[in-house]
Amino acid sequence: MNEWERMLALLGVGVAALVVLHGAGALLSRRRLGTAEVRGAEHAPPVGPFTGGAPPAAHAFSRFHVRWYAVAMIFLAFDMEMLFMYPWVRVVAETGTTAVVEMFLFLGILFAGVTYAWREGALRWS
Amino acid sequence: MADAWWSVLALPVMLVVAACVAAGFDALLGASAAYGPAGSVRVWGTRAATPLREARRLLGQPARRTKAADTALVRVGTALLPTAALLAGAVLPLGFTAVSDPGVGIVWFNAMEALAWAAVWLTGWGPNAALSMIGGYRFLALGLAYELPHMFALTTAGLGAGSLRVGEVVAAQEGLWFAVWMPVAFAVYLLSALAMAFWGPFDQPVGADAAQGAAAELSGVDRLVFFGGRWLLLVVAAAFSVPLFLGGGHGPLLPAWAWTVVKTAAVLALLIGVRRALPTLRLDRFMGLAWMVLLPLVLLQALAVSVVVVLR
Amino acid sequence: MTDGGVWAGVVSVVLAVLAVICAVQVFRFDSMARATYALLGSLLCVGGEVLLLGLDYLGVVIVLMMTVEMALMGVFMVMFMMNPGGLMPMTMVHNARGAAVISGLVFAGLTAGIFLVPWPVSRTRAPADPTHDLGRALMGPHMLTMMTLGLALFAAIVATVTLATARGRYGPSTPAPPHGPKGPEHPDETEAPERPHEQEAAPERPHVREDSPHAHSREDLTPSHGRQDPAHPRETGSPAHPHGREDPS
Repeated sequence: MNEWERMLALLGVGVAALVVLHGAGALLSRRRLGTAEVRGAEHAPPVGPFTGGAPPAAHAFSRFHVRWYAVAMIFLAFDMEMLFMYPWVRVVAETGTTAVVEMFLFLGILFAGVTYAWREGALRWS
Repeated sequence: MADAWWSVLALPVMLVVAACVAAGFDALLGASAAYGPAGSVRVWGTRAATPLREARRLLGQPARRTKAADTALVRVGTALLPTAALLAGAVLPLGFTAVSDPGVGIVWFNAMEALAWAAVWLTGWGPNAALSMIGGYRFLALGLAYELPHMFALTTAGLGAGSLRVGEVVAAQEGLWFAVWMPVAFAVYLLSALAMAFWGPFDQPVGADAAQGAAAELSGVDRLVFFGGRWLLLVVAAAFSVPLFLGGGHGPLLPAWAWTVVKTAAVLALLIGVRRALPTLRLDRFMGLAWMVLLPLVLLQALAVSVVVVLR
Repeated sequence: MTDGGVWAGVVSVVLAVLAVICAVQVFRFDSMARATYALLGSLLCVGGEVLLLGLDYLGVVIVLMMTVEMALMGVFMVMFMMNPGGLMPMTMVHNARGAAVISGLVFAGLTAGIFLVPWPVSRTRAPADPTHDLGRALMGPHMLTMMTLGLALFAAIVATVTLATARGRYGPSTPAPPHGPKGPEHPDETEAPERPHEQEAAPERPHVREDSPHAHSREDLTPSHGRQDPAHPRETGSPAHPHGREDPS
């Protein structure tokens, strides 16, 4: 098996274990329900969500305004940088100073952007 | 090393055992904090087995559904958490063999650990419940804070070895552990290990203030898989710090696998202990800290390491 | 996996079929969460295909980047779409007939291209370590690409902050006139001497909390002339959260 076939095999083992777990859970809970007074409870109607006692006024599935959307955008821009950083790691030793200067110039530019965002309060949301 | 196909079967068992031991240790700490030290071996054993009893209880618990829930997404989200941990664990050099040691092992670990973003958000979204959804969103906010410093910490370790293959990172630490000459990256890695398992000061996604947040509506096997997956993630995150920064299996006298176990246990004990020592950190506070303190620190660390690598 | 065994072929076909199924589901699901994660599923399968091609780094990094990006895209979908939970039927397809014609033509063209184009035969062998070669290329001949992208990302960050941050210097500094167009002049044309000061201080005010690390900021300097809090209408009346629910995290 090569290195990626092993990953696939491991994924298979993990998924199989989860399927077995869910199967065992279904069996055990059915047996437990069978002996309890509440027969037929596996068809129990769905309950309301936990709201600390208050009646749920609306579905939670609705538009949800996150305050950190600006951070998310900045993150996505900065995250692109990792695309270069990982291959860079492989060649620093042989390329030498050029590689270090180039990468940290690149990072410096991006971090200047982050500093600007911080200065503008974009990293705070509450 | 490449022929140990049985490691595909052994790794899940080892990780689950490690997670049970870690959970038992945590339960012991919690019980002795609440009721005082265990008086007898029997009490000690009962306390340590608390997580196993809880797992057994959850396994037989009939599922509880919320109205108009997206059960399929809950199932996918909860199942994704242990799966991500398991696949991330594939690159762990266990001291005698890794399940797989690809040339981009560090990137693989990063990619699998990032699946937790999807897992926790889906788990929080699925039940159609406000508190649970708040927990899911909190994890994404946490991810925005911890992920970049985490990636740079991983990269710095790779930089020291000039390789992204975990086996070569371990080999590069035969003389000197990376934790010694890149302490900032090591510290940031430990912090991000706590964060990726939303553990300790970063437990807001399942915080008590939101009735366990993303896990608020989980029951039965889903709950077992979710919290089990979280333990697995914590174990794998702790275990991966050993090849990255603590010299992997290198050490005197003991064989490599024994050193790996000892070091992993030490890091895991530290991470578990931290939960009782540190208060929960509010995520809006952590965001600024992560971007303006941790990120520059770990970038400077990477710069220092790259200068050393060039001069070497 | 360049050895091209039977298994690699089987895995490739399975991944391709899964990718297409997930991609179709993106347009069939009512729920934005499902649509987003169906897209992620499709992209993960694509990452697997790239791995099969022997491009380890590219494949794994697709998985990494797409997971993070789809997780965030889901958040934006839920913020912007009318009915993100899929509790009512909706469709993401518009102009179905025209779209079907266009995509059918594109598909036919691409398929014809596969069979008609004479595929070049590489005279060089596949590199032993493509990741290493990628790093060499980025540090050598393609340095300009990387630096240009750096500046583009910088511009993206600055533009995002300028456009999307309410509390920065470009945020709303004065309230909208409450009684129609007869209110004060447009804020950008005001020449009041204390304006720069106001502009900086005002957006801070609603966010300052006693325990905030920034609580010492210009709060005390702000003149209290009983003005309506400028950021408030924007915060509570924003159409992005009609139910008044906010992210309390």
